[in-house]
Amino acid sequence: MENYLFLIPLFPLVGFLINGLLGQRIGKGGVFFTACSAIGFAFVIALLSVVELVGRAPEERQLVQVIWNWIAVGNFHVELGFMVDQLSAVMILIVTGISFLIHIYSVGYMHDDPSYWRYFAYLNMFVFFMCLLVLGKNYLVMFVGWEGVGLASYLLIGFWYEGDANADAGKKAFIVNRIGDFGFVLGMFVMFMTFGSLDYHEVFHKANEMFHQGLIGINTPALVAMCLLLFVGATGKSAQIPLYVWLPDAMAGPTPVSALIHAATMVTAGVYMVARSNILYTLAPTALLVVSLIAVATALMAATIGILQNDIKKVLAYSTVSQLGYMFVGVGVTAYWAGIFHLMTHAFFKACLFLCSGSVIHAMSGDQDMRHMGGLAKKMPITYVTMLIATLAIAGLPPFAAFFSKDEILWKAFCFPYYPVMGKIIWFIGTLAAGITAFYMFRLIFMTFHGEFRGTEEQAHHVHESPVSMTFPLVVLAFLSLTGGWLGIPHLISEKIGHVPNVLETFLEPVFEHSQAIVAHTAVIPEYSHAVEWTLMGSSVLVGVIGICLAYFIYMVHGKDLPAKLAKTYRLHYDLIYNKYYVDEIYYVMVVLPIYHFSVFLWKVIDAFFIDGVGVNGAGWLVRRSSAGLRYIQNGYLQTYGAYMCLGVVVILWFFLGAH
Amino acid sequence: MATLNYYIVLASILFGLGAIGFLTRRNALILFMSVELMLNSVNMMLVAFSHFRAEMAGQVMVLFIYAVAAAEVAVGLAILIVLFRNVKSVNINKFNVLKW
Amino acid sequence: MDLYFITFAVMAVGAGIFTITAREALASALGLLTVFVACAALYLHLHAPLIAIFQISIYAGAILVLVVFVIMLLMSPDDRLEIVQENMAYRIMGVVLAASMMGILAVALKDVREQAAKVLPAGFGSPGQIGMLFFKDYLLHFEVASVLLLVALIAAIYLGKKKL
Repeated sequence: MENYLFLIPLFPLVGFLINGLLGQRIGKGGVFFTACSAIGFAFVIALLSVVELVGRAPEERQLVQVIWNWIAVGNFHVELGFMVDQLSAVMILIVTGISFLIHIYSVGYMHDDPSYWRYFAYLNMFVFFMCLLVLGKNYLVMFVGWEGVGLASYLLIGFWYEGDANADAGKKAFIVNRIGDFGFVLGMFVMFMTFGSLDYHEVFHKANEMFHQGLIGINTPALVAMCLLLFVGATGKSAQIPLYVWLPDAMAGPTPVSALIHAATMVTAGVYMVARSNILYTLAPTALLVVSLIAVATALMAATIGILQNDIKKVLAYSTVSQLGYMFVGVGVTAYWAGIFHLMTHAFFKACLFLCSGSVIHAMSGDQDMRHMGGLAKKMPITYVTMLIATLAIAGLPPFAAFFSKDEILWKAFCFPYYPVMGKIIWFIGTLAAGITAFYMFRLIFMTFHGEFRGTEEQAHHVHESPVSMTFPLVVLAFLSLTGGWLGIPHLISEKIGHVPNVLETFLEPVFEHSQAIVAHTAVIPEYSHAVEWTLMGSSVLVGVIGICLAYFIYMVHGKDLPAKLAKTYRLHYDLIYNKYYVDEIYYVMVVLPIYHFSVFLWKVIDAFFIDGVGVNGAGWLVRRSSAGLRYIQNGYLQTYGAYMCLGVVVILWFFLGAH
Repeated sequence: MATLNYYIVLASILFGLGAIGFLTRRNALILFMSVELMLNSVNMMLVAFSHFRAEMAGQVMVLFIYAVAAAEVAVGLAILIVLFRNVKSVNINKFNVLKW
Repeated sequence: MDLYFITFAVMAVGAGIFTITAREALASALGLLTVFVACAALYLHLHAPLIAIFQISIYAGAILVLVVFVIMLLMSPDDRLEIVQENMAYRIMGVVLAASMMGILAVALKDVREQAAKVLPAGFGSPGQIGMLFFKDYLLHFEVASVLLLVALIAAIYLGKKKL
């Protein structure tokens, strides 16, 4: 299977080419079949690779395939190679599996769209780049995938490009991503300068060795810079403060795109990157602190914005930003496997939530405003049940998936070895955000599915359950939202129910063992009793329940007038939060306008005046003027010309004979 | 015995005289004669060198210069006559139409 | 001192000065004739009899005659041009330039070493020898020169037409 790793990205690439070049000619059936089967095959190969991986002993769990030597310049060697180890195994299964489900969903969702072939081509291209990102053997192949998914995201966000808003959203996503990518590239430069390579094996091996030989210590400036720069890239791609602003606008794209790219896969690339670089981050605790603090601040901020949004997809978008914050908290407190665990569960329930919302939007004839919805539960039972399951998961209630992953993250944050005090603070803010999450998610459920229908007559007639192609993935994902968390049952609980092993943690352990060794070596890992752990677990559940009850109280019991009254009473707060803390406006004034004016200056002064006027036109003017002056040499008199000739002869004679 | 240097000086003087005549006179025909004077000085130089280096090549060159000079005078005077028909003068200051 | 040389050299230079400073065009022509004759005499002294003959027959006999014809044709006796340019600048410039040319040559020649006269082979400068050279080493040049003369002939005929 090692020799077939290249097939995993190859199938989607072929699918992209076929759909892109021949899509309009092979008809709807052809396009759908090509796209879905491409991802299906990729998933099968991925599955087989993982099966083989699991079949090996834990020390040898790595499948490596090198395609060819890409760059060989002096000391700089980069291969085009793929690697499947435990971490990328988890990622590739998530990517190909959920992509497959979403492709099937898209068959139903995009059935009536005239540009369906373009959609599936872009979607396949996205999966191709995402596979490159996850399977890459070195940072440069990862970066190729990184950039490529940004491109696919741009194309898909602006898929319905006839409207200005959609195209602008696509541009915003791409440009903000690029800012992050700049940081990523600088990080790669520092990495090459410090370690002389970009290959995972070489870099991590060298880092470990250099640490044990004492050549680099904790918080070496080069390492801290490298990790922070790479994290800048992650903030762009995974929508953390300050580069999260593109994700809510990205909801302009089709809903399956939001589900796939902006929930399950692309935005998790940053988390994957940090988890992959775990040893570098462990050696730079300052960077870890920065990551954790930014992450938890993002989690809280996005959660607060989410409570007042009226567009169903915007709520989910801010929820994604918030949950990504959780994932980064996980990897930021050296609990790398917990971050990946939450990545996995989040992929399940967030994709489910987005697809359900797509189903609702489909039923509402394209209306996304929750104020026009209500009482849809009876008319769309499958959608309702699956969405409820996913919402219970995100609220963190047991035994649904996110309970286990979120709880693990918060517990590990509480026990942050490097900064115990900050760890407690992070735990507190995280728990608060969890409560707010439960609140706004159930607000969404109550406003959409319960109560009375608030839309128009026409919409009421059109409401119907979605076709099987759309509901099938919903069911699968809901099932995973329920059971996905059972792969990572913490020790505490597993003791009570008969020693169920923590499958995910043990599986991923070898990837992070060097990091954990370094942490044990340099910091004291706090030991807390079981009682503390139970209390924390209980508190997160309690907070979730409080959130649900509060949402029920406000939106169900007093649904007609209480929200409006609250909005009026707390006018200032309401405005601030409703307008997303005016971040977009601040960015516009602080960043966009100066750049715009600077560009105008460069254009008018430097380009138009200097280069065009002085340089190009000036040269022409100079030639014209000088020749206008010089032409008077020709005055028509023979003897003048003769005199010039004699002068020339004199000069030449002087030159050649004057040497004597 | 007149050595080579004497002949070179003589030729140079003749050439200079021809140049002065070319640059200072106004009559086109006198210009022609000055040009012939210059050509003649060159011939003198060539024959002198040929004599003092015992090589015949110099004299052969002189014969070619004769041919060229003859051709040049023929054509030049023909042009002058045509010019005269149009300008009705041999004053070269009047031949200044080919200018800026 | 070589009397022969001095005589004819002075004659040539004097006639040259007369040529460029004469008032009448015909007088200039006569001065030029004298220069040609003096040069021919010097050629004889330099063991180049054929050249001397050609000098007289081509220059004095053909070219000068042509010039005199044109003078007669174009200039009426009353048509007396001032001999020199009105523009003083041109005069001065011309003299200066020419003088500087001569001066440079003179200065350069100061360092030329005197060479011993080589022994001339028998028949040096005879028509026979020149003829041999023409038809052996310089055949191409000879033919090209005849083409040149042909071209000049055609040009002169064409330019001489009444209506071009």
